[in-house]
This record gives sequence, structure tokens and C-alpha cells, in this order.
Amino acid sequence: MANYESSDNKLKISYPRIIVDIVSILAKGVDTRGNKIPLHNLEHYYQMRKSDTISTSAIASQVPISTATAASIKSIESNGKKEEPTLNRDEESELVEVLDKITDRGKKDIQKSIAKLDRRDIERIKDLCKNYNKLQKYSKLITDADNLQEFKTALENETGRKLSSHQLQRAANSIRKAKLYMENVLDGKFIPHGSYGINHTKHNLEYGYLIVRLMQPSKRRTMSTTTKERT
Amino acid sequence: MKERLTRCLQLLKISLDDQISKTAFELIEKSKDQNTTTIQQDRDWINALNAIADSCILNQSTFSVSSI
Repeated sequence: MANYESSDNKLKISYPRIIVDIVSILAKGVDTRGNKIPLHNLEHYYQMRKSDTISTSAIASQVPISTATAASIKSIESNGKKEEPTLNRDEESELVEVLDKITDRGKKDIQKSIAKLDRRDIERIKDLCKNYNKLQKYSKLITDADNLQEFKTALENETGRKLSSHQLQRAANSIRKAKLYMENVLDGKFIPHGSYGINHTKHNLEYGYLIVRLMQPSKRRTMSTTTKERT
Repeated sequence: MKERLTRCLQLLKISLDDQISKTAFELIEKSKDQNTTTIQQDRDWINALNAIADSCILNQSTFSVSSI
């Protein structure tokens, strides 16, 4: 809310809707589409709604959400999946190289898997691979230090802000499972659950990467793409 | 339901002649037709707010920080 005025216009348009959904969850435990959301997941839900609005707004803005159903939400998602991947040849070979190191799969297998991914997943994996060195460094700290103090200091120096113990735990958990995350994305194992169409395990792990900036939020990515397009 | 919507619009200082209000009333009418038996008293406020939120999307309107 602090950045509301400077927010993307598409997000501003959808903000009332997100707020009503949050109010509905607080009052009834379900959003206005009837999806049951546990209260402990409310912050994550809120963040996801914001990032989903940015990434699907071009299509979603044309759909009156009062009549949105699971089918229409799914069609929004699948429309997103039809977008062309944004990797050029160099980027792809770099990505395959790193994924080969991490997953120990054949390069051809990795290329096949990447070809099946949607643009957003490719961007997410690309972010993690770009930060592979950091990922290794943090993994080592978590394993060696046996307490989170050194890990915390390293992360705070890197991000330039204080992290709560909850954020630290979330980040550590995501970093520990980075290999698993990438393998599951490559294999398409994160199957969306419920009518809202997200996989909570996947999104929880991504939240951990976002906290420590191993992954870029969709909003920032969209903005930088727009800026690139303009220049 | 219309009374609740009117009250919400008043609180948000949106004129009843405004396009947002008109669309919100249309949406409320539609949802009434679809859910006559399931509308619950305690969800009326949420449904009214929901109609305004949807109306904002349909009219591509944004609220000020204070309205939010």
C-alpha cells in the first residue's frame, strides 16, 4: 500500500478486487470466487494476487471478474503459457549449462524440458541459474554454520535490509530445496491445485527466493521488459 | 442489497450518476438473478463491495489512496 501511487496502473485497477477478496477471506475463510484460503496463507495469497495481476493483467483486464470461474481463470493461465519463450541462443545454452551442473541431466533432456516450459517459469529458472554462485554460497552456509546467524548476516549484507526469523526460515528452506524446485519445474511436477490454479508448494518456494532476491518479482520483470521495449 | 451498495458508494464518495455506480448496480442485478436463493445477509456487504471492485475493472478506473 505504501507504494500504491507509484504502482502499475493495471495493479491499481485490480486493487479494490484484491482487497475485497482479502476481506472476504478474513470474514468467511473463502475469497469471492469461493476458494478456501487458510488465514496463515493470507499474506502469500495477497502477494500472489498482486504478482498474478501484473503478469496476466493484459488478458484479465478484459474479463469481468464477477463472472470469473475456475475455467476462465484457467484459460487466462493457459493463454499466458502460449507466450513465446524469451531466451536467445546464448542465454539458452548458458541456462542449459548451469542446469546440467545442478541437475546432472543430459543437455538434450534439459533442452526438451525447457521447450515445454512457459515464459514465466523460464524466467524464474533463469534467475536462479544466474544466481547459482550465491545459491551455492548460501547452501554451504546453511549446511556448515549449523545455526542461521552467519547465513543471516550474509543475506542482510546482500539485500541491504533486516530479515525476520520467519523470512530467514523461508529463505533457508527454499535454498535447501533449490535443486528439487528446478527438477520439478523442468518435469512439470508442480501441478496447480484448486480452482485458483496455483501450486502452493511451488509458490512458497518462490517466495523464499524472492525474499533474498535470488528471483525477481514478476512486477519488476514486467517493468524492466517494458523499459527495454521502450528504449 | 441495493441499499448496501448505495451506502458503499456514498462512503467512497462516488456519485450515483457516475459510470462506476451504474455498472456496479448492473452487476448487482445480474448476481441477484443468478443467486436469488443463495444470497446471504452477512455476505451482502462483500457482494456490494465486490460489485464496485468489478465495476472499476470494467471501467478501467482507479481509486485514490484514501478511497482504497
